[in-house]
Amino acid sequence: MTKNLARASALGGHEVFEILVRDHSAMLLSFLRSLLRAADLVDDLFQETMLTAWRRLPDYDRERPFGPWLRGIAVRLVLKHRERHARGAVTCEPEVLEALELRYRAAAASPETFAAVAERLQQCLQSLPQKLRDVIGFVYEQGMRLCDAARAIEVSEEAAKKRVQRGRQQLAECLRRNGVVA
Amino acid sequence: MRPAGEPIDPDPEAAPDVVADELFVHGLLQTVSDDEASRQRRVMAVMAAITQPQQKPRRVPWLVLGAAAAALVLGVAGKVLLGWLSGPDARTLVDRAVHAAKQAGDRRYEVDATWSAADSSFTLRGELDVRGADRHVLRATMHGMQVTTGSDGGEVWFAGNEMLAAHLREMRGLGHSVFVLDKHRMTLGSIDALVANLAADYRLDPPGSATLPEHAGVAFHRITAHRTTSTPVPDLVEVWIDPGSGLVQRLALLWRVPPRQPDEPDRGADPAAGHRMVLDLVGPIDLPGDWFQAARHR
Repeated sequence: MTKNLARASALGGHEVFEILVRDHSAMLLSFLRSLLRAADLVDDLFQETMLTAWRRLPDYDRERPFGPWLRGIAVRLVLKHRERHARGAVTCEPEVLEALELRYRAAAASPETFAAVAERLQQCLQSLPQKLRDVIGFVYEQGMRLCDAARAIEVSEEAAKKRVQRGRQQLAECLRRNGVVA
Repeated sequence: MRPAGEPIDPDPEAAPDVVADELFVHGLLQTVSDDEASRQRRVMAVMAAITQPQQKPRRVPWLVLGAAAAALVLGVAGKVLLGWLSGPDARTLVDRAVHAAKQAGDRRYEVDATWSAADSSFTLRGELDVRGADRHVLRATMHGMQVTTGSDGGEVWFAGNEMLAAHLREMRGLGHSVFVLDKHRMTLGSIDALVANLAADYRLDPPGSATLPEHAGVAFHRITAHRTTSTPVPDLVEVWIDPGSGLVQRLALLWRVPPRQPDEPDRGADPAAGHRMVLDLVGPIDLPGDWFQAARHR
């Protein structure tokens, strides 16, 4: 049983659940953003995942961690959405979903661990080569489209895309060296 | 960080572990700096949804839909008619300005920026020199302190007041050269890109004619542009284009301050508050070849 859940177990249902929502919202948002293309869909499925978790809370085994259970609900909702709208999800390949779950399991063993990962990511960003850091910043910090980022750094869109990919891969490597990624 | 401007598109040939690495970092990058207020709003929305009974969405009567469609058609028709009647086309003027900037080479601008948020207000004044899209030097006074920052196409450098430089360096976040107006960022080197992208990111009003006190007798083409994309560019841009040189003489950028959230204390802020930056062209200027290097300014 997680520390917070133990603390909250003496409280009523709503109070317990609110603590769980607060503790796991960053992790769940990150997980959904990994899998979905559109920001408004992320918001919709975030809400739907939490509401499903609320309805099924009596079935939840409190001896097990809450995060993987929540991500399990989220994945089922993503797959269900994919049946109706093929372009909504980035991937639904079982091997990829399994590998992604392993990464979140290591990085988000607890809400505190997940917060530490976010800090580590900021440090890894500083160690990226400047040209990768620039394009990652344009796309993720400033929310630019790839074509605009490419224009800003005066390279082709394809070259900018490759830099973003290399940047993400080098960040994953850095997190792995720091023992964050499984 | 914010939702990425581009959805991830992993290589379908890549191994599952490589794709999972990318997806993991993609999600994390967008989440690491979510602000506390948006997190709080999401939590409150979930808690409100579980405590309130579901409501059926109200149906919009067909009559209302029909009237809205008719108004839309009339609006579009009116706009087209106005376009025919008006003189020079805003987009053409902007294209000419972009071309003129490329021809002009190095340029100097006077910068006057004002932050005006709920609980703070201060100004930055100085000079900005630009060469192409990636070289700039800003020499400015901020908080009563001198600071110089610039880029020679690579790393951004800082000189001047150490405390302020450290503060700016911290705000720089991922290593871009940026003006930071509250949470809004503007890449200095992107002034030309901002003008070049006006047609893509903004709705342009038909151009009008306007004068500037410092340039008596010149009737500038004035264009007002309203942001239409989610790209984090200023909400409103006003451009004064010199009819002779075709150069942008003045660029006024406005970032609106979002309205106070219900959970935020009322600090009596001016409801019209916003962040404003005005760049006035001093003129094309011949700068030394090494002007954009840090060593020139330390």
